[in-house]
Amino acid sequence: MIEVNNLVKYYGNYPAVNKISFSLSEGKIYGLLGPNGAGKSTTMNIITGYIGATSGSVKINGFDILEEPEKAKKNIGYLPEIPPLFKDMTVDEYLLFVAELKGVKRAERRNHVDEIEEKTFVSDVAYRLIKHLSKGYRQRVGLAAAIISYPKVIILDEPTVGLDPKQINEMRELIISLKKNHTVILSSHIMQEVAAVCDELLIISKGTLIARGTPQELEKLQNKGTVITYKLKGQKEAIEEVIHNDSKISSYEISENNGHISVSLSTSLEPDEALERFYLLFAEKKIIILESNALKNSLEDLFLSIVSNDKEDE
Amino acid sequence: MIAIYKRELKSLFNSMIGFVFIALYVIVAALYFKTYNINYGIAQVGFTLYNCSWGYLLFAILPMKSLPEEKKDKIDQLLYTSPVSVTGIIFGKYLAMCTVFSVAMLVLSTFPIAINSLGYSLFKIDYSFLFAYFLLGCAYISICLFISSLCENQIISGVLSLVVIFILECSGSLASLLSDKDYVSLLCFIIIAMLAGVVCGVFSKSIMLGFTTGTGFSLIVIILYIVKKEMFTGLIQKVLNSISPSNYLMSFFYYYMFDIKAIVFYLSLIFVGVFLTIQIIQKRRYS
Repeated sequence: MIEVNNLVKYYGNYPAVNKISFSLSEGKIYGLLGPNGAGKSTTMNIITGYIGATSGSVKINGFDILEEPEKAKKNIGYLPEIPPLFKDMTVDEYLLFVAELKGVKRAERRNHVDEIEEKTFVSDVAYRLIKHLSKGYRQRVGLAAAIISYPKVIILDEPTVGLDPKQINEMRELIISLKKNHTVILSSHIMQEVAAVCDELLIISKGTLIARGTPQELEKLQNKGTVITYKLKGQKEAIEEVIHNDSKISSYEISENNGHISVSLSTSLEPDEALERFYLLFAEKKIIILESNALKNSLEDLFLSIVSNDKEDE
Repeated sequence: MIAIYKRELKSLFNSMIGFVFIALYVIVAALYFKTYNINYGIAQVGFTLYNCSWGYLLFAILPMKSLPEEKKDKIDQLLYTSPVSVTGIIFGKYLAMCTVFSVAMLVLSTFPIAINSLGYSLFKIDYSFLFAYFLLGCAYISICLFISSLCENQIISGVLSLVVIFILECSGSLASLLSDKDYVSLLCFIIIAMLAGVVCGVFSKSIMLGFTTGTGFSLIVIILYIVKKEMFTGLIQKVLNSISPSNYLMSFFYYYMFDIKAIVFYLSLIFVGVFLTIQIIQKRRYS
C-alpha cells in the first residue's frame, strides 16, 4: 500500500530524514515512534506530498507522489499535528468543503458528510463555528476531514496531543475502528498509545529507521526480559557467588547499604519464574530476602534503550 | 479548483475584506465620477477612472490575507495534501479575488448609462476602456498575490503591495522628472541592479548571492554603456513609462483606440504574477 524508498530530506545541511525505507501493507495500524525531532512529522509530510524529499521515492497504492501527485493524494487522508481548520467556517461547511476538495460527487456529498460527522461524534457541533470549538472537538473535526472520501491510507500525526484522558480513549477507539477498511499510520512519542493501538511499530531516531516489528517482537528484541531488585541480608561473597554462577542473569549491580545488600539484576526469565529460581538459590546459601521487586521490561524501556543506544553510538 | 474558488470567495466576504474593497472602490470612483462627469460635464468614464489613480492602492487589500494566513496557521497542509494541483489552488484563489473586483466593476459599468441619461455617451469607447481597466485591476491583483506569497504576515504583505503599486503608478511621473542624459540612465540602472542584489540577498538569505547578483548586473550595465553609449540616452524614461500599467490606458480614452498592446501587457502581467506565485509555493515545498 505504501512503499518508501531511501527517503532523504535535508534542511540546509541538517538531515531531518536519512535514507528511510519501508513498505506498509493494507488493514493494519502502524505506529511511527521516536523522540521529538526524530523526523516523524517530516516523514509524514513527505508521504502526504506536503513537502518534497531531497531524494528517494514514495509510492501510495502504486502511484508515485511526485510523478502522479493527484492520483496518489486521492488515497491519502492526513491529520497533521495542528489540525488545518478554517476557523471562520462551521464544522458542516468545512467538511462539505473538504469533501468537494477531495472530489466526493455533489449528489453524495451531503450523506457522506453526515455519515462522517456521526462516526467522529461531531454531529452535535456541526453548525458551530470551528473557532468556538474546544481542542478535543477540533481534533475530531480534523480526523473527520482526514477520513472524508474514505481514503485507503490515513496518516495521523500525534492525534492525541493536548486531549484529556477521556478524549484520548475516544480517539483511540476511533482509530482502532478505522483499521477495518484503511491502513493507518500514526506518530507518537507516547508508548502506551502505540502499544494499545498499533499492530506494528517503526522506531525512528535522528531521521533513521532503527527498529521495526510488532510490539511483542520488539519486546523480545531486548535480552533483559525482567529486572529484579533485592534487599538482602547475608554474606556479600555468597551473594556474588550465586549471581556469578547463574547463567540466566545477563547483568547485575550490587551495593552495600546500612547492613544490608541491594542487588539489581536483569534476566531473560519471566518475573514469576525468576523470583522462584532466585528464592531457592539464595535460600541454599542462607541468604535472607528482606525485599524483592520484579518488573517486566516494557516497550517504553525498549524505546528508551534503543534511543539512548543510538545517542551513545553518536 | 471550484471548491477553492468558492471557499476563497466566501472567506473574502466573511472577513469583510470583500465588502470593504467594493465599498471603498465604488465610493472613490463615484466621487471622481461626480466631480468630472457630473460637475465638469466630461462625457467619458475613461478620463475619470484614469485620474482616480490612488484607487489602485486598494488592490493591495484583496490578496494580503489569504496566503500569509494559511501559511502561518498551517492550513495549507490541507490544501497541498488534497488531490488538487497547486496551479488549481492558486488559480481558484486568484479568480475569487477577481470576482470581488468584478462586483465593483459591475457598479462602475453603470456610469456610461448614467452619463447617457444626462446627455450622450460614447458607449463603445467607455466599455472598451472598462474592459482594459478590469484587466489592469486583475494584473494588480496578480502582482499583489505574488507579493503575498512571499510574506508570512498579512500586514507586511499589504504594505509591500502598497509600495509596489505606488512605485509602478509613480514611475510614469518619475520619468518626466529625470533628465534624458545617458549618464542619468546609467546611474539609475546601476541603482536598480544594486536593489536587485539586495532583494536577491534577502530572499535567498545569502549575502554572497546578493552581492554577486548586484555587482554582476552593474558590470553588465557598465559594459553596455561603454560599448553602446547612445542607447542609454532617454532609456530610463522609456523603461519607466513602459512599466507603469495605467499609462497603457491612455490610448483608450485619449486616442479612442482599442490598444491590443495594452491588453497583451495586462494579460502578461496576470500570467507572470500567477506563475511566479505558483513557483514560490512549489519552491517552498521542495526546498
